[in-house]
Amino acid sequence: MTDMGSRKTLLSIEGLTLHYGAAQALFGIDLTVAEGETVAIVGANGAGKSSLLKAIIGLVPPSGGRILLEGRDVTGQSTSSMASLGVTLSPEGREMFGDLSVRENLILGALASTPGKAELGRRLDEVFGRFPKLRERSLQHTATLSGGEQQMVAIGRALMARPRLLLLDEPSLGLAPLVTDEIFDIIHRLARAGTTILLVEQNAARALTASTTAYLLANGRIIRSGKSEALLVHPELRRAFLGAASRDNPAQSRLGAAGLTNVRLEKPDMSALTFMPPFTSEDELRAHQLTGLRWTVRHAREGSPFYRARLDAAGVGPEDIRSLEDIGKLPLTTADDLRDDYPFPLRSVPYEQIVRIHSSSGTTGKRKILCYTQKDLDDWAHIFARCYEMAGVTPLDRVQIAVGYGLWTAGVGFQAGCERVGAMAVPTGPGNLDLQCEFLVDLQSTVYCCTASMGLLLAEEVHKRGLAEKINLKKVIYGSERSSRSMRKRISDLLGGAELFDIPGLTELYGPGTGIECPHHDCIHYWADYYLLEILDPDTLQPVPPGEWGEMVVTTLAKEAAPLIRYRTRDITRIIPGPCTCGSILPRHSRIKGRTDDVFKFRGVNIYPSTIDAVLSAIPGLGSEYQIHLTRDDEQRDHLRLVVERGAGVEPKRGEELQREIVHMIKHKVMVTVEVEMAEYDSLPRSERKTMRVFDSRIQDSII
Amino acid sequence: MATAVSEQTLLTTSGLTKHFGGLPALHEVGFAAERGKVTALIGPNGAGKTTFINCLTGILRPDKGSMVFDGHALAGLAPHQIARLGIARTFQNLRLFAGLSVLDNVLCGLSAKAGDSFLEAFIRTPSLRHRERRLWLTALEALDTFGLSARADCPAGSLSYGEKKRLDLARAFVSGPTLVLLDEPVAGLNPDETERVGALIRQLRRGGATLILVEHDMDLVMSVSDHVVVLDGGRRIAAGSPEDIRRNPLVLEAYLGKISLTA
Amino acid sequence: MNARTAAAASYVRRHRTGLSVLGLSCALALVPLVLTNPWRLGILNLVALHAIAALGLNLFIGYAGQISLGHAAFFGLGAYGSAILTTAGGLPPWAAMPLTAAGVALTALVIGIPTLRLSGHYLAMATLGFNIVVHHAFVQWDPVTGGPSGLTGIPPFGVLGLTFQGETQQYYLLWGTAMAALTLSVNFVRSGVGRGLAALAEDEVAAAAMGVDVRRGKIAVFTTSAVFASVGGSLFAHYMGTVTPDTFGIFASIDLAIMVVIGGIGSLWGSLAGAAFVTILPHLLGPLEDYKDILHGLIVVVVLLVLPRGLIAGLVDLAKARFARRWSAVTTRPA
Repeated sequence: MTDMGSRKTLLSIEGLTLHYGAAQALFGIDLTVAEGETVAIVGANGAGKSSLLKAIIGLVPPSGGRILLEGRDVTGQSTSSMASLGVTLSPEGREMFGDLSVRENLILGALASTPGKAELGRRLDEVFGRFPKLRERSLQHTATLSGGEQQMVAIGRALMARPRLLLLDEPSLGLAPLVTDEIFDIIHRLARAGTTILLVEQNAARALTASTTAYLLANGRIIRSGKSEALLVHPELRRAFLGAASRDNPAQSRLGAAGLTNVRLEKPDMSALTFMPPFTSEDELRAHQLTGLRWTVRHAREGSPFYRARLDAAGVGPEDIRSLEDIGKLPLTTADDLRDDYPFPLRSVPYEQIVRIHSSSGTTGKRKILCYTQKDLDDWAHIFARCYEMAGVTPLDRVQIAVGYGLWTAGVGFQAGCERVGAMAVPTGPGNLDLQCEFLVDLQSTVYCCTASMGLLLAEEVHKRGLAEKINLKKVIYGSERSSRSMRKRISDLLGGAELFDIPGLTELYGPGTGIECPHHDCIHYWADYYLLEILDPDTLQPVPPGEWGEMVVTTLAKEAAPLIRYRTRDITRIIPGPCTCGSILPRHSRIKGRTDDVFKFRGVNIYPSTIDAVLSAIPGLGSEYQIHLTRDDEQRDHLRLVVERGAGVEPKRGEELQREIVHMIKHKVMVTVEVEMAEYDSLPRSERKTMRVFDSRIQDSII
Repeated sequence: MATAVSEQTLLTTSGLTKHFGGLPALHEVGFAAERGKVTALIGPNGAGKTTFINCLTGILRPDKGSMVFDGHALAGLAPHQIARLGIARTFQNLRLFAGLSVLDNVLCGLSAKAGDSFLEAFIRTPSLRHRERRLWLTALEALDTFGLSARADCPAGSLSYGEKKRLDLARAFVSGPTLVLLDEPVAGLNPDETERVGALIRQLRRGGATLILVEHDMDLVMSVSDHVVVLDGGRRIAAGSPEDIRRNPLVLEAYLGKISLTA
Repeated sequence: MNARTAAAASYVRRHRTGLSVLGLSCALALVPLVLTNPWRLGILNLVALHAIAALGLNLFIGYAGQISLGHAAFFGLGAYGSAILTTAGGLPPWAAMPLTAAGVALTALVIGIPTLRLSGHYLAMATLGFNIVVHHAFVQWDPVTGGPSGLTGIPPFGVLGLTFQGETQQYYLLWGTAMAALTLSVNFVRSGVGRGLAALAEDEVAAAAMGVDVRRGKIAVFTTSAVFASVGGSLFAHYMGTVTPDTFGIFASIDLAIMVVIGGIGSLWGSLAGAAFVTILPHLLGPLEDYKDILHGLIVVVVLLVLPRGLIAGLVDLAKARFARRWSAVTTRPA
């Protein structure tokens, strides 16, 4: 290549500024293009590249500075006079005259230089020579050409005027990689033939390999200029334009590899180990249930003085149970019965058969202690393994168990089930977010077990530390706390799209693991071969019509140490009748709506927190955390103040409209007027165990 | 080639044919998109991809063949009817409403939910006001998702190219459509922006959206697609998983073979 | 700022459009107390009538992006319709107006359905043609329309026992209706349907892809703008007491279009300004009154070249741009 110094300067730009109305697009641009050179202007979208070309070609008048063509001042000249001076443009987006043919478009390109017929024919031949594809399509309307062909027409059209300076605006825009190769090949050839080219491109690599000198444009200013070869390897350029994607990004390896880490573990073959019950029809299940019920009634009566007294008082014995419907004859038991018989309530076996006790956390009254025989523990591990199986957990999974161990049923329950199904248990327990995150990354845990609140806490921590791409969580199994739709979605999103499974259970009924959310996520399947579920109206204690909401009342079918007979759980749910789309024949209930003692009364209306969070979940722009504050003022009027977090990244001024929307929707759905206070995202407390959301400071009606 | 149809198939075409003058833009094209998955449609320039999208969205009338979406036959429906069935699209050349603000552009994406009644609009009933407020909040949430909140009140024409591409996406996704057709969503974007859009597409897919992606950027196609269909010269020449397609000799020939480089 | 002031500020911000209309209405209501000259009030009354038609036309031109150079036809049909129904038909004015409007709406539908398939120049020509046909009917259909001399003896507008006589009473009737028209229009453009039409104006293909029924939308807004014009026409007839065909020819249509363009296509407040400008201007011209049409044309050309977004918006833009350049010249370092 000839020495740059000996070349004449063709184009020179000095201190160019450009305004669009009040907005300034260029801030003093200085640039030179020598004859026969290819100069590239590289910049991101919005940097001002197109504005610069438009100023040169006369489409937009500059507001300051000078443009000199071979020493002559051409600033602000019209486009047509620039064309007659030999400066042509192949515009961004190609700008075809769609209704005209390829040939007609090309001929229009020569308009400014008014060649004779023969000369025109020669030029056309030359362009067709460069672009043989266009020759085939010379009579076709350009609107029907593909993007690459249109780009060729655009460049060809600019060449028809035999320009001294060819301006190319983003020639690779919207073209397939191989077509771009073709286009740039043509540009190379033009350069070799001596055409002076000013090339504007976003694709820095292409532009730099095609040019000798380059200018980097950002926010309307030239931030760097120099020889293209030098700039290609310059670190500032790489940082500015090639971005993080080209550096060692862990995610890249995932894409390049054979997709091992993206494999979704399928449910195991039925011929392999399964924990599902062998029943194939409802009748078989019912027969099994009847056997279990009769056994339980006899076992409880024989082993527990408490049950004997109760059954006798109700005048019912094992011989009275002849069908499942006879369950209605049995007496009900409640949590008070457990407390009254502390420390070994409902015990129906001799002490030497009891191998473990567990205790509830005792948030409402005295602790409940439940005892287990070895068979109870085995049964529990079996049904818990069934939960994992339904959630699609296999021996290849790594299950990080972030729930409480010790007296609490959760930790050991999750672990026993995990080992039974053959997966790897990582028993971190709750809290200690540093450890949690460390293990998630280092051990690549695939399943996370927690309470909903802990799930949210962890998900937010993962998000804060930017770990979503580094972890491998596929599923979250959470329980012992009710959660709203928006909370679930938030947890799932922050953890990179993990699947959530709600797992029900209570200490009295073994612990968590009495059922699990269906893989189709529309219901919870429960293990009807281990307990019977009745849904009763909490006031009348009569069964509700199938499918309606009511209190869960459970009766165990195989539990030895502390069997349950019609135990009122105070959880509200409903049976979902009909077969499930996932194919399991096990019956199902809905996610727990709340507890009977969750309900609070406000201005004569019974309200469940779950109703409130269903309303909040439907409003776009809110976070998933909220608090309900119930107060009473001096005039004995009740007030409900709802404190709601805005969504992450939502500015305060949108908060006003959100507030109004919340008030309106609650009035509409719950029929009460509440005060709403918006809070900053992440400002409400999150707990590792269960989050308390309802704060009732009104004086309860009490007889002192 | 037979197209497997299952309960999970959301959209199918069969024998789709469209001629322009004498030239076949599409010839007997069979296609299936599964619920909750990303199906990519690739092919060299001029293969008929945009024609295909235009047939699906009612802009062009195919000469032969059927198109069925979620049990509804699409042939003969007007574009706005197809949109109201739950099919949204982006445009290769953006087609933004340049004079309207960014927020208004996204609100237009909710046109199907905004009500049709002139009378209600004139009187501005309370139910309309409430609906408008809900639409406003939904649109703002979409702007958050696509990173355009700061530019909500700017005229759409004043955005940078990358922002415009994201606005086109936001406008298509805001109404929560069942199926979205993405027509070259990363054309003209630099690697950073391409990665950003790729991440958005993956996020939307995790949320359960069904996508049909027309693209040239092979990295993007390979990294987000579940299934790939290849067109060339208006015909379907291959279909399968991304890995299969990457190695398919017919596909490679289509991209390389036809282009003759002049000496 | 304490909670009360913040709440008040928020209320004002949320209802700023409604409050602005209210503010303007109050200001207008006070005008007759200051301006007692009946001749001047008469000009303002004409402005109100034109404003009603211009608002409707702006919805069609400005928001739906279409063209109509024949809207005076609807204005005329409204005027003649009310005139005929109240003189020969013996109906009270408050019944004649909605009946006429319904008839005009039907006419607009019939005309609109085939015509709105066209666009650009073709649509402009079709609307012009329609105007010419209607004007011709007014002139030729003697027995009904009174031929070239038109109809006289049209009673003043009255409703619920109230009759509006004299410039001041007419002022309140006409400006009251104009403010109602403004309110309806302002509500319309802020609704989902209004947005759909604005989208349609920008890009029909994209709007259809969003679910906007393009065809139905165009026809609906055409009919609506015709109804606005009809109402304006009816009130015009009752105001003037007589109607003649030449008032509703193609030049009147072009005047209406000029009002919209000068005020700003798409700016509803601008339509009021445009109506005022075009109506008042001839009276300020004095001897040049005969050259009114040439002057109108020149003004339109100047406005489109210099302030393409219309008077109001254009002047605001100009001020902003001037200020920005001066500021940048101060802050940008020399090369």
